[in-house]
Parts: sequence; structure tokens; C-alpha cells
Amino acid sequence: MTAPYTIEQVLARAAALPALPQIVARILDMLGDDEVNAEALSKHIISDPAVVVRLLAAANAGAVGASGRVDSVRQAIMLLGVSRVRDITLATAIIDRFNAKPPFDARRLWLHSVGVAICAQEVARIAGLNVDVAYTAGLLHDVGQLLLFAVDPEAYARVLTLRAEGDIDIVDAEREQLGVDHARVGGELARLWKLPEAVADAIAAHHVTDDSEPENEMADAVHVAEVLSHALNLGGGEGARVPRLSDLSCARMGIDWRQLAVHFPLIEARFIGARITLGL
Amino acid sequence: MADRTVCVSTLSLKPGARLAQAVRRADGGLLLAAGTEIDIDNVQQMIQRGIEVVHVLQEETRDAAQIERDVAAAVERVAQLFRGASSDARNELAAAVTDYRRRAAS
Repeated sequence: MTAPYTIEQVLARAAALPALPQIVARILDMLGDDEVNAEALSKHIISDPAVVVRLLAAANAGAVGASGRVDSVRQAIMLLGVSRVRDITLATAIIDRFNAKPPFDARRLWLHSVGVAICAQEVARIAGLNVDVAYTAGLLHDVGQLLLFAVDPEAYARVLTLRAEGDIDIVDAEREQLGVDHARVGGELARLWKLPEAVADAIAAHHVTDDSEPENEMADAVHVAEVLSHALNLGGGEGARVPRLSDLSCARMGIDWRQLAVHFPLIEARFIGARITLGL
Repeated sequence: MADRTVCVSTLSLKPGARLAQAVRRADGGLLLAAGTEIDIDNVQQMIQRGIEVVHVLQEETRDAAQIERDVAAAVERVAQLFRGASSDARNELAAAVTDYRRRAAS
């Protein structure tokens, strides 16, 4: 099987990937549940060694761990807080598992995903949308890139070259080289993994290009957040460029960039905090 | 030269930093007053309460020429990021980010 692919062909190959860790489904079930406590969370987390390692590293990083060594999951959760623990768990459980090798830059993808998640949360807060769903959708919005690379590393390497040499958006390079793009593929993968519908829909439609797309507020939020994260250069790297921004999405969300700019310092400070927590 | 107010992550706070704005608990009560010189216990307390960012005072040590160079570099970087075809919304975002970077660097 060679490029171009159909979404069905890509998803058929997804079956060969490691299954979505149970811990992700459990963490996602806890989204929006104010009663979640450190005890319940630690019970789930200790079953996943990769997450435990990351969590303890985060708890001992920077100012958090300044007053002594943290060596239990429960202690780490008390120190970091439930929402930070959720972020670390999701990112570790999903992005780390793909184990993408160069030329795919998994660290860069993770950094970018965290930046988009933080922007999505702020955009959602202003628009009155669910901030937890926005954060999760932001964190996972590019999961399709990991899948496309896993399916055909050589073809995806050509995508990366085309993007860099042509200075074009990644979706355009993917469509040209592979016949599919990471947004559509990622959305279907999220459905396959039985992630919340709102998250899957937002992932699928986050590269909104025209008015043929059905209206989806969360997809608009993630789309706007992704462009904003590039504009603020949150983990974008040297060759970074701000991708297309849909006038329609901005109009639908009533975005006023001058007003939103008040939140830019907060977004940047939170991004720095997330980098410290995640060791990125 | 006057101090500047900057927004920083509590995770990157160093003891000795001075708060530019009061820090409040989730219920609105005062946790730390503006002007407080924070110590490691304050940092731990804020992190455990889920306070992610605070505003602190930063001493301005640059001269006018350096500030001018910093502003020019920041604006140039934004222009570089926004290269290529654009739309109305993208242009508006570019203007907002340019303005923000100019203010932050000056």
C-alpha cells in the first residue's frame, strides 16, 4: 500500500498500533467532575509506569519540588493539582506511546499541542464553551500526524520536507503527498478510541478552510487557538509560520483580537508553567 | 528607570520577587498583598492553591537604545511569523500581536 491513501486505509493500519491506554478513558471520564480527588486519581495512575515517571519528574521540577523530594504519586497529585496531573497523564499516555522517531519531532509536537491546549482553554472561556473539552481537544488536535507518520514514515518525511521547502501549511503538504490530512484522520482515530464526541469532532474540523464545513463551535475554538499559538510562537521553532485563519470561524466566535490580546500575557505565562511541569 | 510589571508562571517564580498585584484566593479573599516580597513558602502556597500566574515587578536595566532595538526585533519576528498570504482575520491578529509585542518589549 502506497500513498495516496484513503482515510479507511489509514485507520485499518491504526489497528496495529498500541491500544488507547485505559488510563486515558478513565481520565477523560473525570473531565468536568468537580468531585475528583487525589485518592481516586492516584488509584488509576499507579497502574501506568510511564505516567508515574513523568508525574514524579514534574513534581520535583522547578519551584514545586523546591521544598523536598516527592516520591509518591499521591504526594505529587497534592502538589501539582488535579488539572496538571490530568494534562501530564493525557500527554504521556498518548503522545509518548507513538514513539515517533526523527524526522518526526515528537517533542515539538507535544510542545505545540500544549500551547494550543492553553490557547483553546482561553478562547473557550471567553466564548462560554466547556474549557476542559477545549483543553483536551487542543492537546490531542494533531494526533492524526502521529498516526500518519506511523502508517508511512517515508511518505510523511516527504510531507515534512514539502512543508519546509514550500513554506506551506502542513495540511496542504499532507493532502498533496498522502491524499488525506491529519485533522480528518485524527478525528476518526479519536472516534475509534471512543474519545468524547465533542473532542473527536473538534479534532476532525480544526483546519476549517471554507463555509462548506458544518458549524462546530469547539472546532472553531481549536482552529482559532492553533493559529493563535503560532502567532504567539508557543513552541513553534525556527521555521514557524502562522497558518491560514478562517474569517468565518472568527466571525462565528465573535473574536475581537484587540480584546483577546489582554489575555496574551496570561497565555504565555501558563505555557511557560506547562513547559516546566512537563519537562519540555 | 521605573519597574515593569510582568505576568509570570508561579512555577518559575524565584523567592525575592515583588508582587505588582495582590494575589487572591478562589473565594476572592486576599492571599498576598501587592508589594509583598515573596518567599519559598508563598510560592508553594500559591502552587498548591492552583494559582498559575502572578504579576511581579521587574527592574528595568536596559537603556533607551536597547529598548528600541528590542522593540524592532520583536516586531520583525512577528512579521516573519505572519509571512505569506493572509485574510482579514489573520491581518487583525497580526496587528494585535505586533501591538502586544511592541508594548511588552518597551
